[in-house]
Amino acid sequence: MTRPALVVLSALLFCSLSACKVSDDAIAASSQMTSTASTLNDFYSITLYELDAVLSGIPFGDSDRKLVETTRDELENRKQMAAALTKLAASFATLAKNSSAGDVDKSATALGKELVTIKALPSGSPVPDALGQAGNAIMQLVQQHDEKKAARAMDQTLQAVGDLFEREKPTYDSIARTHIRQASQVAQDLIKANQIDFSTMFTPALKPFSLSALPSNPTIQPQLKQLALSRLDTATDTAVQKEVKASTAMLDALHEMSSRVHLLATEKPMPIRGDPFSLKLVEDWVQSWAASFI
Amino acid sequence: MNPSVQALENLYFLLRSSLSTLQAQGATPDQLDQLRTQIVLARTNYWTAINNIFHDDDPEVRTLTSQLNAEQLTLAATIKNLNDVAKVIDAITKAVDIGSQLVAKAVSL
Repeated sequence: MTRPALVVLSALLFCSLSACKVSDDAIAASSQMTSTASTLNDFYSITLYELDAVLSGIPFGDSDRKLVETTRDELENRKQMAAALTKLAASFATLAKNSSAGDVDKSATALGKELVTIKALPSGSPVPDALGQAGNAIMQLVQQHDEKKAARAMDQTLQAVGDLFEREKPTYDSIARTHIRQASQVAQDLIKANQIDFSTMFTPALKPFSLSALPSNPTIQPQLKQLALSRLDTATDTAVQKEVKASTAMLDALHEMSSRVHLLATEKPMPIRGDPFSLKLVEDWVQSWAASFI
Repeated sequence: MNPSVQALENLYFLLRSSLSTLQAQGATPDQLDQLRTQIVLARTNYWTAINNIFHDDDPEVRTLTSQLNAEQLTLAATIKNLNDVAKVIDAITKAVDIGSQLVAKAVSL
């Protein structure tokens, strides 16, 4: 694609209105999608099941490992696809600031390849046909230097990415919920078996006075056990709800990004831009879980 | 979430949480091993469901999902209130078997 044509394309997609920050939004949303996919992949951690096998005697064998790895591979594909989308959005934005046209070519091709190879994750959510078609279209149109059609293909791609996330969202929620419930179950067993030191529960009373508790002893252990189990239940429910809110916010952000690019790609006037994407929920959720994986 | 996948997820966690309950009710080592086998089957059914496309619109899948949900309600009460561990494990085996039928049917569609 010639440099002027690419500038037109990038302007059409992301910068045709002076106040428009669509490219920033696209980068932010797709970048968060990468983090979300990465976190979901972490949720499919085999270490938790290995730990459970040791503690409860419930076997975790090679066939179990293979099932987990199959889903992890598909989650990894989604992470790569989101990362490719981030790079493409970033390269379009950079191009408008007189950068290299080659970057857009490379990024578009990379995204196209990711979109074509992605498979359905599960639970009644076949990958939208539009996703594979859009991937092919982007590769071909960028190579043919047809910027207007490429813009429309990009529009379709973003729509298809949003559709894929929407269809698979219940599965993502189940994967996250299963991890939280599994971790909660192991924690519950350890509490019931008196294998937990409850001394940190005294922190709210002791910290203001710079005091620290001794390790919990057999006398106080039974008194704190019920409170610990109750808090575990509450924390489990809260974590499940937080993930659902984060995935809903992610979906909203993808739809918003898609609708803004659609307006630009179809050369329709964009209403005054509202507040930036509310991706904070997603960021908070990703950060809150990142620390728990070693 | 597809109701069928949700039912399989719930069955796995119901059984997983029943391990300590049955231990407390005096289950023998053999009975606990039987329960562990059923837990692994229930977990495999859930993971298989996640890795495959389910067709909740199929009448047979819908029927099996309803049966599984009904069985789980009964099972939860049985685990909580019954002291006969052998009967509990029979009920668990029945529920897991419905889950396996559900997965086999759904994957074959």
